[in-house]
Amino acid sequence: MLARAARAADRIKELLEAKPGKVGVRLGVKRRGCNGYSYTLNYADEKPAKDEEVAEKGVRVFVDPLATFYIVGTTMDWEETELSSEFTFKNPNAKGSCGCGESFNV
Amino acid sequence: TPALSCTAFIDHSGHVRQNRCLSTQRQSESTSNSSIGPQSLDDAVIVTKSCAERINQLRKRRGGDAPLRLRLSVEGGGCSGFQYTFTMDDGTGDEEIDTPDIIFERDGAQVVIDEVSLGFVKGATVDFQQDMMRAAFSVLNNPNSENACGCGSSFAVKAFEANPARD
Repeated sequence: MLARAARAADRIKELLEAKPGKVGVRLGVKRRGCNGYSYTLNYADEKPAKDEEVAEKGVRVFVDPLATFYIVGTTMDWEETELSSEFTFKNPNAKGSCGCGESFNV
Repeated sequence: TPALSCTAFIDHSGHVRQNRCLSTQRQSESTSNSSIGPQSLDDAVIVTKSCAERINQLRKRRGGDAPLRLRLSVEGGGCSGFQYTFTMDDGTGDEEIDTPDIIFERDGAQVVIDEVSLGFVKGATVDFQQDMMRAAFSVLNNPNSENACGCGSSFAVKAFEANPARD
C-alpha cells in the first residue's frame, strides 16, 4: 500500500542511525496546509499496535491507521536538489495539491 | 525614510559593476565594504548562520570559490498571492541587468535580492531549515506578510491596496 523508492529508504536509514533507540518512523497525515492534508513523519520507539508496517532495506515504516485511507498507493521518495531536500509523496488518488506540494486532498 | 540607500548593479558575469547611493545623505558611502547592502537596518534582510553555512557548503561542492550566491525573488503566485523563489545564482543566468541587486553577506556567503523583491521581504529572515521531512531555504518573520501558506512558500502582502508602489 505504500511503496518507497530506494532513496527514501536510504534517507530514513540515515535519520534512524542518528537516533539510537528508535526502531522506525511513523507516517501519518494531519489537516494542514491550503489543500487539506499534509504528511507527517515522526520517530517511533516501538511499533504502534494498530499500525501497518512496511519494511524495506531493513528500514521500518509504520503507517498510522488513520492515514491509511489517504496514502493507499502512494510512493514515497527522497528528492535532493541544491535548494531543498525533502520526502515527496506521489499519491495517485490526490485530486489536487498545494503549490509547494506539501498539502493535498483526496 | 529612503527605501534603500545603496544599491549595487551586477553584470552578467556576476561582478558588481557599479555602486550607487540613492540617498543624498550618503553620497560618500564607501564601496570598499565587503558587505554591499542597504545601510538602514529596517530594510535589511537577516541571513541566519545555517543559511550561510548551507550556501558555503554548496559553493564548496561546486568547486571552491565559485561565485555562487543564493538568489531570493518574490513573484506573483501561490495560494496566498505572492511566493518566494530561491535559485542558486552563479552569474551565468540571464537576469535583467537593469534591475539593481542588493547583496546581503554573512560569513562569506551571499544572498542576493533584486530591488523590487526586496520591497516585499525587507526586515525578514532568510534561513535554511532542517527537520525530519525536509531541508530547505525559507523566509521567516516577514514583516510585510500578513498571512502565509502552510508551507511558507507563498504569502499575502500587508495593506496591498494601500500601497500603490507595489503593483
